[in-house]
Amino acid sequence: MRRPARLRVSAAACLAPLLAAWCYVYARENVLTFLVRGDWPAATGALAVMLCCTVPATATVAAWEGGRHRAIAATLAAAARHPLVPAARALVPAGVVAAVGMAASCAAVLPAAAGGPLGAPVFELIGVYAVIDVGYAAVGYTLGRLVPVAISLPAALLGSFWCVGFPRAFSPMWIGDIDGGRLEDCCSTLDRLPAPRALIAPLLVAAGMVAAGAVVAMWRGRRSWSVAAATGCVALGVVLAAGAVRDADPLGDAGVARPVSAMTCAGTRPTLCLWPEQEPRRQSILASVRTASERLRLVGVSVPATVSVSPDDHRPGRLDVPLLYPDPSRADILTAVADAAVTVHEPACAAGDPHAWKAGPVIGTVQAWAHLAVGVTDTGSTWRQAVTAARQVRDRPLAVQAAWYRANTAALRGCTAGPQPVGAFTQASSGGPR
Amino acid sequence: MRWWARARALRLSPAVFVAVQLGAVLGTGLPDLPFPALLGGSSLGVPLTFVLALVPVWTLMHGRARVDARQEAVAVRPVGHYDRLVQVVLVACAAAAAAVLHGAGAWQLAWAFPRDFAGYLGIAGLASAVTGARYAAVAPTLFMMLAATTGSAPDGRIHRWAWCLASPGDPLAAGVALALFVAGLAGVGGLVFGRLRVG
Repeated sequence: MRRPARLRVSAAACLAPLLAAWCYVYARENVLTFLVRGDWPAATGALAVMLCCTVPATATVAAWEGGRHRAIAATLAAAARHPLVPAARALVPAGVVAAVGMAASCAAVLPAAAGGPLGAPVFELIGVYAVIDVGYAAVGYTLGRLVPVAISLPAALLGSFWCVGFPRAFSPMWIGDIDGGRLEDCCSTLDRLPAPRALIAPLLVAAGMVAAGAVVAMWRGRRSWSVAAATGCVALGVVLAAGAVRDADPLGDAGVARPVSAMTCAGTRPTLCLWPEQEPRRQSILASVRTASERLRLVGVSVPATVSVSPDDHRPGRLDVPLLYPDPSRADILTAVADAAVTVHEPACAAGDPHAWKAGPVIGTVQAWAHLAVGVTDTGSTWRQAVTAARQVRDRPLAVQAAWYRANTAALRGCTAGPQPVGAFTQASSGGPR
Repeated sequence: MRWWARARALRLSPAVFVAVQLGAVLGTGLPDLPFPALLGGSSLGVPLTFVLALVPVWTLMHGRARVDARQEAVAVRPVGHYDRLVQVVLVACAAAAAAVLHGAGAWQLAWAFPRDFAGYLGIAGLASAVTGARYAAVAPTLFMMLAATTGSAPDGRIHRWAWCLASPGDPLAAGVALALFVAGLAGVGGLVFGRLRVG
């Protein structure tokens, strides 16, 4: 078909500009607003939500093209071409719509991620989005071939929207990984990257959908059998994808921990390990970390010589301070260092029985006290009782505070001793002036 | 009339209608279908009923799209009235079933089904003046998707314009749906949009 005629008969020509405008405005208002600047994987992952806009448009355009082929009974024609050739060409307008929608979304969101030293979007993710669009285009085309257009258009519109938007809301959560719905959450923080399983699963489903479309386009026998075969193809894709993601952490997102080797460590007292995205702000982050560790040392809390910003960096001799965004505020850094420095993990003797950990309830007070010690006035703790108790501790001389902290940490490491009240420590017992 | 019924594929619509209504009644135990919220509202769980009410509208529009509207416009028999009669009868059936089920206390959402069905039919009727019956069913579908994704405030309240998701007892929603239905039946779309017709 000559190109101008193709433009005239295709729904894509009307829909693409509308979709582009909608995607651009929507992505700017609702994706960009909640995005941390300077993190490319987070920005690319957040674009997954735009599939809710591009996929229904793509599937509907494809159903329109399929309806045209149904109307001219394309398979009955004495075609010189392989039956897949016209089917594939019919998907071109749908592909154009998908590309236009995605390009508009990228244009709205990705420039905001610029400035990160990594310097490129995660192209694997964008590729997966494109393949998902193609898969739904194949299903839409198939629907258009099989069902009258008055039914196939709304069914493709609603059905595809559903399939791409819903699975993530189901429990168990890996169902959302099957069609890429949860890629949105894959890497919103610096310590996460998209998980391979979450990338492979939607590709398998899309492959099943494309196979279903090919089967229907090539089928020469009874139509009901072609429907059965197409359904089988999609089902196989879904089953394979489910197999790929089923063993995933049920509460985890679609991401994996970023290798800690990506961090660079520099400086002394403390040596600070940062993600590349945080490198431009190393001086200010280091200053805040140094302030926090000096203030903590003053009240008897020891801070290791190396501070790492990844929560998954469990190498010995390091303090893991989760700073997950490119530009953490000073208060965030102080709070995070204080929390990490006084963290005591549940001892083995208390496993399975929270009551056995007699000193457990004092954790909140210790944390609130550490916040106050590093100079965070708004402790962020909603546990008012703990904050009040922490203020009482803070009113005591520094040596008393240190003794109180040592005693409680010792109590928290076992199951025999309960919380140590600050009244038990006096200036005389701990020694030293305030 | 028999030819009219065959041309409309009229066996399909009531069959689908009954199946859908049965599905809606039996599906009350199923979880609500979550819709992602697109404009900062809260994510809505839309009961299956509100969505299933669309399906008979698709088949009715399919029936009307099977014939050449220009040819029918000069038919001796009052084909347009037949079409309206079918719509009224189906809505009345839905309402009667709702009354029985609601009276028996069997189905909490009973009145939502005839309301949404009538409203969707009305939107499709209005849209068919512009797009022709073949593409008219896209309009109520798109409306339902828009209502489900953008029709709720952040506190979970449903906006007034999203009548199809209001609680079954909401008189304003029922009034809007009825008005749309009557407007669709009366061919208001043709009066307002007749000059815009593209299909």
